[in-house]
Amino acid sequence: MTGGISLPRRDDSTRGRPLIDLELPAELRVPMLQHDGRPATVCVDPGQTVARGQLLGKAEHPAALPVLSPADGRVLAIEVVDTARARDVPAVRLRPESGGPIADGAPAAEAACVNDIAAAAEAAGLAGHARPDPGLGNLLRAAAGRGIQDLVINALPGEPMLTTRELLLNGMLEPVLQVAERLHATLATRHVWLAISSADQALARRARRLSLRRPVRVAVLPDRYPQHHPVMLTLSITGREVPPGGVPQDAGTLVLELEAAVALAGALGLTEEPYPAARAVVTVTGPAVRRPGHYRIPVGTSLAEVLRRVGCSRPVVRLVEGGPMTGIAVDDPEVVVTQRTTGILAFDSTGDHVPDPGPCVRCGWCQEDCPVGLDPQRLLDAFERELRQEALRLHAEACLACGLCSYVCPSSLPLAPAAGALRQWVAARRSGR
Amino acid sequence: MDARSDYLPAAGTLRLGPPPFIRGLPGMLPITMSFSAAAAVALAAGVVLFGWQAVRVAAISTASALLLESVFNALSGRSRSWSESHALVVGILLACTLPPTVSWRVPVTGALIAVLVGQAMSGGLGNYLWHPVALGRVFVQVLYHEELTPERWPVLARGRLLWGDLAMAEPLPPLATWASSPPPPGVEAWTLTPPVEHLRAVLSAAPGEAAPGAMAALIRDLLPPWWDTLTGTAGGAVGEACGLAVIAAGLLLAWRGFLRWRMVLGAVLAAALAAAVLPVHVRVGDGMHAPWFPGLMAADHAPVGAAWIAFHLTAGALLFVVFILAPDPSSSPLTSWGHLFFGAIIGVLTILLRVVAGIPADAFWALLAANTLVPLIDRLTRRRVLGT
Ligand code: SF4
Ligand code: SF4
Repeated sequence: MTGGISLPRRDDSTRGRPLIDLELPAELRVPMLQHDGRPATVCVDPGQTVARGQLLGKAEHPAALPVLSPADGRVLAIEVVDTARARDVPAVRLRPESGGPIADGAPAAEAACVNDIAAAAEAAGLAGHARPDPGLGNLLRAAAGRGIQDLVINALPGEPMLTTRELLLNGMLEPVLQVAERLHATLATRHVWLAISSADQALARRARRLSLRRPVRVAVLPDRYPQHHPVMLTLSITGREVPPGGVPQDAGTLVLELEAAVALAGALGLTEEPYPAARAVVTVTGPAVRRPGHYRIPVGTSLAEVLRRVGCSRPVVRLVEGGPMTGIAVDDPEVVVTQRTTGILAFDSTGDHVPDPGPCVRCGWCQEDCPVGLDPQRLLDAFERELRQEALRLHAEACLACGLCSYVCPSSLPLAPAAGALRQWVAARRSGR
Repeated sequence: MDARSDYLPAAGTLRLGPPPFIRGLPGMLPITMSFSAAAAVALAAGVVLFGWQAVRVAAISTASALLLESVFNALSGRSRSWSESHALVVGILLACTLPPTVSWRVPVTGALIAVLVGQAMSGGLGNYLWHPVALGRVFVQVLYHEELTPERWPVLARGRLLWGDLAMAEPLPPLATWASSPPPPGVEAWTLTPPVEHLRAVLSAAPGEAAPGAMAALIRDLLPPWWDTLTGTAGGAVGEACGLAVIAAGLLLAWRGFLRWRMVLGAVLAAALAAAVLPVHVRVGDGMHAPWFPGLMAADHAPVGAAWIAFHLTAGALLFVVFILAPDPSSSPLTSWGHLFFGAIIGVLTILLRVVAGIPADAFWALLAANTLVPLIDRLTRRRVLGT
């Protein structure tokens, strides 16, 4: 990988903290859409009691995913909620009530072919954690249909401040390797890789030892942002380049994020978690958080509720779902946690200092560090002057939305947003044809 | 729960906007600050070598640059914050390129050109093609040629550094070196022949002498040794004389991430190579003699060629241009290959102008020429987009 930089890890205050189960809140609002597809159709009625794992929403469309209840409880209402990625999503409002009968876990699926695995993932309502995310089942089926040479399980930590991945991998190394093995056998890939950061040598050694008599190869990659991006992983591990605007599958590679692999292990009965879609493992941190750490949070919990549980030490002025480089700033703390939530960041006014933009000084850092070789400064120029043809010529669709150009720009210019807008415009134009 | 509810955000009060939410640098200030600090390091060496005269030049230059910028901003209705002001850097850097003996007219004119033409009228930081300081410097070179290329220039004598007075200067005795000459009472500074004049002597060797052996001997005896040109005791412009200080300033820039090592490497290697290869035109009798590869010359088994190369690397403005002016982000290429080419162009052109054409202010002309090529270099070295 050319470009990219090692980001300072000074904000990783949660590293090494244990995983804490966040208690069930008084109310959950479970969204019927947690991937990039169609929402599920609510199939419960207000007043009905439901058991954990019971179906709340049916998938009536191939692009929809079923939604299971994260807890035992009573349905209060059918309404709409916002998630960080989607607005006005149908949702089931639920009051958790403990002491109900414990529903049986999903039967350990005997997955003989990739369709069985995909079906198990789908039945468990698993999101694919990919960009874009068609749901894990659809992701696997599409990959099988296209023929995949390399499968990469992505366990690189990724963005600064988010540290759950190390924790997840440390605890779930064995099941993740088993999932990798099964997918390798059923997808008939040539190689299967586990991508690990070189920052944690002990973990890398353990992974190597455990994968010794397995087909899984461990790829230890430098701690360089955005090495964790699927396009960069494909390049670094297989040497194949993903075409601009494409996904790794276009280059014969399937990148499975660690969260998806862990969830799949649950759905296949390889872990203790029978309903992996019910809770998200989230790094809650930021300068305004009193007890930063790793929390397992039931899906449908609002960010405000999470903040109440972990405590705020300062007034929160910015609330971000996701990481500091690519996350989404939410406007309403009542936004709810979904399966895809990996981080919740709360910034106070001093920690959230994004300086005013100045004139470009032509330092060249933005294009030097851009992982795909774009010239973000020219993209910004093309964006501001609405030069659409220029955007096509500069291959704006190759932008990974990694945010690095904005991060390094000494003049704080809005480079990544401009590149992102042009990328969307080019993509829309291409698909419109 | 111990969370104070008023710390929790209310809907609609939260800050929105696109990611990233963390930044690598806290704004623009670092650029102007870093370059000002680097310029100050070079200037400090000048104050040690030349005393209060260096302070005088720097004060005039900086004051006129700042004044001109605020006048321009007031007239054009632009209000710039202090952190965006580039005139401070321009003022100090311009002073660094002038000999300590110049009259007040030179820094004022230079600042006028640098700030008004080179910077403000070219669109300011980020937009100008030519380095403002180099522009101002070559302009005053043309206007005040005599003042800027004197036949002898002063440097404070041993033991009189910093506090001495340049006005109480005597010519340094022939064949004496600065280090071996403690000043007699009443003398506080030496005047020396500028390296360019030495060069002219080499290039027009006495008639009748046989080349290239004679030339080798001339180089050995006439040119100041490289440690004199590196420490600054061979005299020179305020900030350029001391090569060591210039390199230290460059390291400061490197630490802040503004010095591109490929640019320095390209410039130094190209200059050394050019000095080693390019023919030196020596007048022998009535004819001209132009031996190639002066870098391989030897006289009485002494590696004169190496001294020749070391002289070219350390004398004049080359180091100053390479370490402090060329890294200016606005007027240098964007990519790493571009940096290498850009440096190499500066290195070769400087030596070419110096040895073959004999033009004063060679490194500044070379920098301006390389600046002119930046759009082309950028176009040729553009990175390939992944997957295309
Ligand atoms: S956001 Fe896009 S343009 Fe900016 S560095 Fe990342 S890939 Fe390059
Ligand atoms: S990083 Fe910012 S200042 Fe530097 S070239 Fe890019 S846009 Fe210009």
